[in-house]
Amino acid sequence: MNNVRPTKAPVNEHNQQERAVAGPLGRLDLRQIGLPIVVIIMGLIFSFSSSNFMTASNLRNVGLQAAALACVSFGQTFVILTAGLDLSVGSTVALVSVASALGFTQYGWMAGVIFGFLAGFLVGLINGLVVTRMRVAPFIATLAMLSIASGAALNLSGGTPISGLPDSFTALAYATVLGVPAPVIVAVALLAVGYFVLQKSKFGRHIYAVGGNREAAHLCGISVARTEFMAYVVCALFTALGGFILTARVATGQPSLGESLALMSVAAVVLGGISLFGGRGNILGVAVGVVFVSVLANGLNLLGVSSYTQLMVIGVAMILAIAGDQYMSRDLRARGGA
Amino acid sequence: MSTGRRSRFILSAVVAGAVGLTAVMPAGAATSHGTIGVSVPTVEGPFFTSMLYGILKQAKEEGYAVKILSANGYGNVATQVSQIENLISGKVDIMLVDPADPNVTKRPIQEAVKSGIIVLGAGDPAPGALGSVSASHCTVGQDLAVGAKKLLPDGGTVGVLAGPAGAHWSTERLRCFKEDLKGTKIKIVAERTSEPAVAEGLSIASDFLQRFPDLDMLYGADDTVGDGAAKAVEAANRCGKTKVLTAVLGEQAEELTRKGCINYDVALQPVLMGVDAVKLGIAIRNGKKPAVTEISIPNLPVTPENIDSVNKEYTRSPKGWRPPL
Repeated sequence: MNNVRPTKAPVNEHNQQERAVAGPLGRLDLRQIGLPIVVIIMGLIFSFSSSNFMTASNLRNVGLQAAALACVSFGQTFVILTAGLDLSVGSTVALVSVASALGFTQYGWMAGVIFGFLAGFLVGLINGLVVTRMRVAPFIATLAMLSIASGAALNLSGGTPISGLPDSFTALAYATVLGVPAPVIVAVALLAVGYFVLQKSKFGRHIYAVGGNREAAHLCGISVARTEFMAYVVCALFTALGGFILTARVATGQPSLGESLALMSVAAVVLGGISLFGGRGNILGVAVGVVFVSVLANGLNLLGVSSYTQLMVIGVAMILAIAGDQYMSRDLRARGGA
Repeated sequence: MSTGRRSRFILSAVVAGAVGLTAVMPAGAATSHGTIGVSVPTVEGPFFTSMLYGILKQAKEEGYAVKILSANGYGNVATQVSQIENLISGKVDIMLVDPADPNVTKRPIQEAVKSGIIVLGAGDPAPGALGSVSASHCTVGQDLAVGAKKLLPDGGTVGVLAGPAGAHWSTERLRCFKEDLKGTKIKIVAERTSEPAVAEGLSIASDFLQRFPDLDMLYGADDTVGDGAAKAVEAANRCGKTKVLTAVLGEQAEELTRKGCINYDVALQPVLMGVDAVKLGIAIRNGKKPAVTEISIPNLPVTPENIDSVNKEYTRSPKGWRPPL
């Protein structure tokens, strides 16, 4: 039998052509292997540059520091896959932090958990309604919600942090199971849930379909509005979990918590291969994107690089990732793909 | 260029960028008695610049390397927690922390102490640390109240630029300021929080002056918002009519005091805080048991009348000096 080299890349189950290379490992999508390779190389560079990088305690720190970002990024994935965007995730974290802290300190554990998730759910509900019913562009709708949620958090807290959270809650941020920090376990569990929903469920297929081609999805009988609405609700609930993790870590309800999370979550999602045009990408790639951003920040901190420079580096990485995404999208359209 | 080649180009560019970045990263000190890690909420403003100057100056004399991590804002408390954890992983010998929120940093500071690092509060007390070198912010607030009573002996109206919401130093100053004004005829008619930035202070003070054209005094929590308040008063041609009361004597604050647009400045001595924090940390590391581990650095009241006679050596860093970030 001859080894025939394919001349045309196959079409995957989401009706998109993969940019694949044939080689000794079989077909590998460059978008899927590129970032993991970069993360490995980056890890090696930091290992050589700092003797403290590849230590158990530092890797534990990276995991702890990445956990909240991971939860928010996994939620953001649902929205971006529908070709939307949620800029309010940072303020949602702040609102969840304050609401849950008020619940914990005044009414107890159950109230803290309920208040926190309720706050997140309300943000997602309103975002979803404004985008789908009022037809406001997601960028504008969630930018407005950023302001509303932030104001709500400041109002509820009176502008000052809320302390006195139960030790049993704050201790969760540092608890470990078989040496693995509890927040990391939560993030991994959320990744598993997100993967299952997006890859194996009808709702997940609808998400990809709506993001890939709204018209075609509508013609296929998919409720585009309901799918988009649910994406914002799921995003907000995932973000709420991230809010709980951060609140436990800082042991207070903070009205300004999570300010940088909107930018960082979009960076992680885009770096992880999710297309800003929607309909393309895998949540596992987002996990790698989170690892990239977290390892980068941690490594640069260990090496004493200023936090100002770190912001620039993350921005440059985002531009490169988005530029790469745009080249590939143009090429797909030129070839007559999705 | 084909898609495959473009992808490889972008990937290569990212990797090359990462490699290039490590080439320009600061090299570790060739010989050093140890490393001092510094965690601050921000490096904006004369207070932090001056304290960092003191730390770096004394560390250099003692032969210590210094690693500075800034959370880039009082709201970034989670970032400061991460940075303290990174300093622990980085195995610094001494850690100086100015907490954005002492309740938040207590736990990671305790972890640092458990891991054998000498941790001290610098600029602010840091619960969980082995000691601190700071100005008592309540004393700053009380000194500000003394200034207010001197400027308005017959009472009057005050607009308050309170600084960052929830930050220990600003909250404490204002709390003690208000307590000491109880029973006087000085009344606070407006109050706003903001990040410690001149532009914010200018904007808020301008709003106050619009609402209360005959406002007697503006309180600035520190000289970032205080300078902004003074500039608003200057722009409204009210220097001397609307008194400005603030804390920390930066370059701009000194200039505005000479002009008479700042009327009373409680000058902290952040350079001395930095110097003494390093000295205390090294003393403890060398096994000495200092008699006092909670050191409070006194403040200096500065007015347009006494500005030339006050010893300003420890109130700020040399003109034009910037922390090496």
